[in-house]
Order: sequence, then structure tokens, then C-alpha cells
Amino acid sequence: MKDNARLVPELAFAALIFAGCGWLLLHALDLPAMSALLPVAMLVLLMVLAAIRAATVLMRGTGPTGLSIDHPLRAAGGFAVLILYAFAVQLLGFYTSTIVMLPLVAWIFGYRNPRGLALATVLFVGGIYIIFSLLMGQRFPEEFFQV
Amino acid sequence: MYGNLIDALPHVLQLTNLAAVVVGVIAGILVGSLPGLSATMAISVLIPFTFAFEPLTALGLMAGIYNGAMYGGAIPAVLLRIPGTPAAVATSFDGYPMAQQGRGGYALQVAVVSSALGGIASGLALMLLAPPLAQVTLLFGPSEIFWVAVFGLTSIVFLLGGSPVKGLISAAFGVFVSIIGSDSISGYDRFTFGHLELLDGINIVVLLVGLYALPPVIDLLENPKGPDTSNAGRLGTSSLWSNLRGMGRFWKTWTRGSLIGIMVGILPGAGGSMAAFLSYNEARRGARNPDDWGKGEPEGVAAAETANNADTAAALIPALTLGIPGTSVAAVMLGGLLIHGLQPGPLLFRESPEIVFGFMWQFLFGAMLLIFLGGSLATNSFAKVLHLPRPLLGAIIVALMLIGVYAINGRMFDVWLMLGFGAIGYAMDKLDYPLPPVVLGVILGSFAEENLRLALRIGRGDWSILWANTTSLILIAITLCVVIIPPMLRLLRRNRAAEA
Repeated sequence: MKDNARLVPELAFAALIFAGCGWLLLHALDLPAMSALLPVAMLVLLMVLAAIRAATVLMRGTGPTGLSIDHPLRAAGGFAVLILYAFAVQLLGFYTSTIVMLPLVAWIFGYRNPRGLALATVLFVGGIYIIFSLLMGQRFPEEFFQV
Repeated sequence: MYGNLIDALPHVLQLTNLAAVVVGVIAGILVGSLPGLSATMAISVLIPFTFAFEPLTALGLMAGIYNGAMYGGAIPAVLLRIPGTPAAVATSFDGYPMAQQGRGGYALQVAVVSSALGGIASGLALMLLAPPLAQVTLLFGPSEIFWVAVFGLTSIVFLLGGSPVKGLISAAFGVFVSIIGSDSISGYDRFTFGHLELLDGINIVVLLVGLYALPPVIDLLENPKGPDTSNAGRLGTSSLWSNLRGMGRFWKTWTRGSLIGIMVGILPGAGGSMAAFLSYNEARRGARNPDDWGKGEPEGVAAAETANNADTAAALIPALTLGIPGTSVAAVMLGGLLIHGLQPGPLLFRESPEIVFGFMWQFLFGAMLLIFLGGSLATNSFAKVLHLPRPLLGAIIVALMLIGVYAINGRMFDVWLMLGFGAIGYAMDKLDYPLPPVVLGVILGSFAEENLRLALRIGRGDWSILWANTTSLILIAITLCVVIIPPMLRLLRRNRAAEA
């Protein structure tokens, strides 16, 4: 399997494209002819291309180079951070979440200097507050204690 | 035609617009000097913050960042042998050996002067070549514009290299994203699934931030070990101005590098890396001492840096006149134009001349500013930025991404959408699906559809209107050439190699 280091992700991605476009195509067929023209053309094209891609991968292999993910767990952690941060902003408010997220994420991912973390958090959050909230009047999701 | 250039100058010279270019250049050098961050990412993160600005202020920032980042990439390339941007790879060939010999400061000075000269040549090319090209394209009707859009998409897919199937999938995905929302002609909702937030379509900034900013952030968090910065503090140099006279001997390299950079920039899908490599090879071929290259020859740094900066504004020539960006950063900049209500293409020159010509001046000023800002700052301050811990930088960019996307409409829906696009972008990035065709698909998709339907209405449903005139036929022929010629050339090369 040395020459097929990416077989599963390549096939899974092609299958996802094919299935997703097939499902969207069912919705596109309900549209009036002219409104459906480009969507149908693109979805059919995507399905054909995904099928070609899958067939090519199966026939020729994907080569010996795998996915360039050095630390899959850390990469997954990065995604988790983004999702949790978005949830936290929605539930707890922007400033509360950012004050917690910034030092916590930097700490978890390897920067362990308490003074540096504190300084960066104060400067960044303070700068955002001055520029966006004070000067530009930008409203962010409200803090949990303000609701 | 060129009178508009002079008319635009007073707008550009307004204090806020000048300040925007200065800030942009500094921010660009900073971003470019940080390995893992690119001009594309910086501009895509910045675009949402420019909503409240006047168009020229926003575009000045972008022009400054683009110019600054192309030079900034040379700093870690010279000091650490880690190119800050892909276009700075060739800079490291001779720049790093120079730094090891204690001439890192001089290498950076050669880089900044060469970058500035390349950028100035590129800015002048944009000013001189774009207006006449725009005049010609003003003669285009809906069917011709439709074919221009098809040509743009085809050329970026086929000239970008790599798998054409993957390129086509990326482009088709972009076109599909562009048609989500209310149909501008019939008013029917397309793929909104009851979400009122999608009625106006997907904001291109949401897509750009997701596609271009999220994968590098994951990379920053994934690989916390920063580059080896032990050399960064030892620059060993005298002042830029005292060294400037001695650099005059690079004039041939500067001229050649500028021409190569401009030509590569105009070609869709090429980019700064190709320009830098071509210029480096040509300069080495013409050098008296080619064996010394790669061991610390300052002319090598000059060749690479001139060309990668000469590519910047030139890449905007097809972008502004035809709506076809030469590079991914030019594609992102087209997104920046769109959010300020400026549709790239031939009409841009007629409808907003003060902005489009002002933008060209800003590119020129940005390149000139590089010497003053980059010359002193790079050799003193920015090398120290290389010490910034990657996890901290990653966390800061995560927050900036959320702020930028949330600020567009003040709703979390866009943030979730951005994360969705980010996940798709990450998968595409890892599986080597090119991202520029997605952006171009979003920009040209609805534009192509609108003009196709308009042409069909004019022709009362008769499809032959699409190939009824000479211009359309020429555009179809050029598009076919773009599809057919690269595989034919590859086949020829393979046959020759097999025979040899």
C-alpha cells in the first residue's frame, strides 16, 4: 500500500462530493428552468468530476506521499479550539471568551510563559476593546453577566 | 485615457489614504516576515475590518500589505533559511549563506532595494498597460463577457498546474457557492433551506477567511516549534544609504528581473515563486561567476526579490481589466474590491476611474515606501518579531478571524459558515485541491450566469447568440487553446524524454 498513502481520504472526499451534489441536485430540479440552469450544470459537473477522481485514484493509486499532517491530534485540537471558542462566544459573550481563550490556547499548544501570556492578553483584548467597542461602536455578542 | 491617472492623484494624496498605504506596508512586512503567514491570509483577515473605510483607504491598505509582504518574506528566508512566503524561496539560496557569513544585514538591504525597484516597475506597468486593455474590453457585450468569465475560470484551472480535475472541482464548487441565495433575475431562493441569512448570498469575505486563514492557523497550532532564531540578532551591517551606491552594479539584474516579474504576473496562474525562480536562473546563467551562486552572492538575492515584487501589481492587470486574477492574492484582492461595491472588469474603469487609478498610484507609492520603511525597520525591528511564539500567534488570529467575520453582519451564523468553509478549505489544502479557482468561481460564477441569461434574453432563447460574433469566437478559441496546449506540451516533452 506504499503507493496509495492517501487512498482513503481521496476516495472519501470524492464520495462526499458525489453524495452531497446528488442531494443538492434533487433540490435544484424543483427550480424553474432558467434558475436551475447553472446550479444543475455545476452539480452534474461536480458529480462527474468526483467520479473521475475516484476512478483515477483507484486505477493509478495516489502515490507514496501521505497527507501533510505532522500531528493529527494537535490539528484536531486546533479545530476543537475554533468550534469551542465560537460556542463560548455565543453562550458567554465575546470578551469573556476571548480573555479565557487566548492564554488557554497558547498555553495548551506550547507557549508556557505566564508573564508573556498575561501581557499579550491584556494588550490584545484591550486593543480590540478600544478600537472596536469604543472608537467604532461595534457590538459583539453580549457577556453572560449582562443578559 | 491617461488623464484619469492625474485626476486620481489628489484622492490618493489625502492623508488617510496615504496613511493607509504606510500602515499596510508595515503590516505587510510584519506578516510576510512570519513564516506560515502570507499576504493572501493577511488581506483576507483584513478585508472585513475595511468595511467602514472609504474604498481608497481600504485598497491602500491592501496594496501596502501586498507590497510589504512580498519583501517581508525575504527576512526569515535570509536570516533563517525559512521563506516567509513561497515567493521568497529563491531569496534564501544566497541570502542565507550571506547571513551565515555575517552579511545578513547587507542581504536584507539588497532585498529591500530590489523589492522596491521591482514593485515600482510593476506599478508603472499596471498604470501603462491596464487602461488601454480596459478600453478594448469596454466594447464587450453580455455574450463576450460570459466567455471572458469562462476563459478566466478555465485559465486558472489549467495554467495553475497540478491535476486539472481537482482544479475543475475547485472552480465548480466556487461557481456553485456564488449562486446560493435569491436569484437576482427570477427572485427564486436557491439552496437557502429556509435560512434568511442566506437570501443575499454568501459574503465572499466569509469564504475567504475560512479558506485562506483557517488552514495556516491550524498549522500554527499543530507545529508549535518556531523556527531557529539564533541568527536573527546578528545582522552585522552598515547603513542602507552608504551601501546603496555599491548596489548600482545590479542594474542589469534589476531590469531583467522586473521584466520577468511583470510578464509572469500578467499570466494567470503563474505567481511570484515562478517569477523569482526564472529571474534567479536567468541572472545566474548570465553571471560571470555562476559557481559562486548559492554560496552568498548578493546578485542572487537581487534577482529573486526584484522579480517576486515585480509580479505584484502586474498580476492585477488581468484582474482589474478582465476580472481574471493572476495569483491567489490578486483573487483575494478582487474580493476586497467587490465588498466595496466595485465589480472588477472593463466597466470598473468607466464607473470608478478615481478609485481604480488611485489604486494603481497606491501600488506605486507602496513600492517606493518599501525602501524607507523596510530599509530601516527590517534590519532593526522586524527580525525580532521572528521570536513571537507560534501558539500565541495562532490564538490571536483565531480571535481576529471571529471578530472580522462577525463584524460583517453582526451575527454568529456567518462565523459558523466561515468555520464550515474553513474545514472544506483545510481538506482541500491537504488533498492538494487548488484554492484560487474556488475564489475565482465565486467572483465570476454569478457574473457569468447573469451575462449568459442576459445574452439568451437578447437572443430570445437562441443559444447560437453565444458564438454569433467574432470576439466571442476568438475568446472560445483562446479558451480551447488554454485547455488543449498544456497537455499537448506535456505529451511532447514526455515523448522527447522517452526518446532521449
